[in-house]
Formats: sequence, C-alpha cells, structure tokens
Amino acid sequence: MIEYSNNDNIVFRFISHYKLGTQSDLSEYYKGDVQPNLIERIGDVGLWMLENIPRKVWQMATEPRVVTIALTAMTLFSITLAFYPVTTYLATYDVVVFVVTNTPFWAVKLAVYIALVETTIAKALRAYGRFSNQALMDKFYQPQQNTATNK
Amino acid sequence: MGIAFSSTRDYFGFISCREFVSSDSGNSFSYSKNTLEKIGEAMCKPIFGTADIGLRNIRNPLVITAITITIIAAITLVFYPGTFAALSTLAIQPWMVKFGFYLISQTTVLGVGLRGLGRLNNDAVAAAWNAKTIIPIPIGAERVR
Repeated sequence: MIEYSNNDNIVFRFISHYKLGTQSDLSEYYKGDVQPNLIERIGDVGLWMLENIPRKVWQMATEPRVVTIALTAMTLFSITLAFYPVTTYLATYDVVVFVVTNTPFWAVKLAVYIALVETTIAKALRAYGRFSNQALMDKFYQPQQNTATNK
Repeated sequence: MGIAFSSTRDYFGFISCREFVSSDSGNSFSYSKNTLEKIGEAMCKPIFGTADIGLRNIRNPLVITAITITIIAAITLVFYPGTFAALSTLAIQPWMVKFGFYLISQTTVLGVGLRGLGRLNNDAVAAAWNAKTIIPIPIGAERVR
C-alpha cells in the first residue's frame, strides 16, 4: 500500500499521489469492488511495452539457450580477432560504418519522439483514470482515516 | 522444458561435460541424443576426444612423450616459423598451420555450443538434471563411484 497521511506536508502528499497515479502494479488496491476503469486500462495498454519489454528481455537474456548462443558467438569472434586481428577489425569497422551511415537520423529522432509522447499520454491516462476512480481514491485515503479514528 | 542452473559453474559443467552418469547406479545415463547434439559432438570430438584420452592416460610414458614433442613443436613454430617450415618434410607453410589452428578452434567452439544447445533442448536430460538424478562427468575424469 502507498503510504499517505493528511498530516504530511504538500511534498509528501504530492509524492504519494504521484505514486498512486503512475505505479504499474496496484493489485493491493484492486480487490473486491475496486477495479480499474476504462481510462486506466487504455493507459496500461500504452505503457505495456515500457513496463514489460525490459523484464521480458532480462528473462530472455538469462535463458540458458540464449546464453549458450551468445557465448558461442562471442568466443568465435574473439578467436577470429586473436588469429586475424587486422582483417577482423577492418571487417567489423566496415559493418559498423555501414549500419551507422544507413540509419537515417530523422527516423531515430522520430521514433524516440513518438515513444516519449506515447508514454507521456499513457501515463497521464493511467493517472487520470485512477484519480477519477472514486472507489480507488476512497481506499487510498482509507488508512489515514482509520489511523485518525484509532487515535 | 527449461533447465535451472544454480550457478555459472553448474552451467559450464553441464555444457562442457563429456557425458552424464546416473547418480543412483553410477552408470552412463542413456538418452537419445538429438541431431544438434550429435553434430556438435562430432565437431568437438577431434580436440575434446584427444584431450580426454590424454588426460585419462596422463601417467602413461607414451602420452607424456607425445605431449612433450607436441609442446616443443608448438614452441618452435611460434618462435621460428620459417625454420620450422624449412625443417618440415611436408610443404607446410606457417600460414597453413595458423589457419589450421584457427579452423580447429572455431570448429571446436561451435561444436561445444551446438552440443550444449542440443542438450538444453533435450527434455529427457532437462528432466533428469532438474531432478538432480544425473551428474556431469568432465573431460579427462574417470567415472568413480
């Protein structure tokens, strides 16, 4: 659960709301009647790549088969470099130059721009969806009310 | 089926081992090798097979002599490649020896990789490994129970 207290100063309350709005997993809140609304779900779809691809890449990178292929390829390259350093260096240099010169800068810039805009919109949709979810907000403020009552 | 390794050493033990033995009986673990493993094994056999036989017979004077001669030849080749070529009865040029070493190194590495992939893709081996019922026997080691 995200810590929140009405008695905290504005900075801590802002941080608590920021966490509530952007945190990827709110399964602790979504139980019973409290469920994510449509706007939040749309935001989740937009953030799927950002939140899941790094985890999936890590899972793949630690898979023994992938490790075996990568290690074999690296060792083959290292041996080639050790036996024929000049030829290997020139060939690698040519490949790198070819890739760099044939990748249009505008395309990379546009891709990064689209990714950033899409992520921002998706984060905003998720936060808006959560803040407009009355049941969720009630539950978010609940622990503070309970504590106050207990006191 | 995925294979779980507890450490890097565990992984390299699995990939580089000569064979697996059953931890219960101590006999060789029998399973049908897939094509990938067979190809890989054939590719790394010249080096791994020789190293295995050499290491298992390391106390044999013949093996000691053979290793000594091989090392002397290798040192001579590295320090005086031209003289080595001149002394050689065959028309072997230094570049040929270098290319030969390169080729055998690449073949062996590729063979180890393919054999490892074959083993990782073998459900019988994966199941036995995960159940800890097989033990990898490294190159040059004798099966001892």
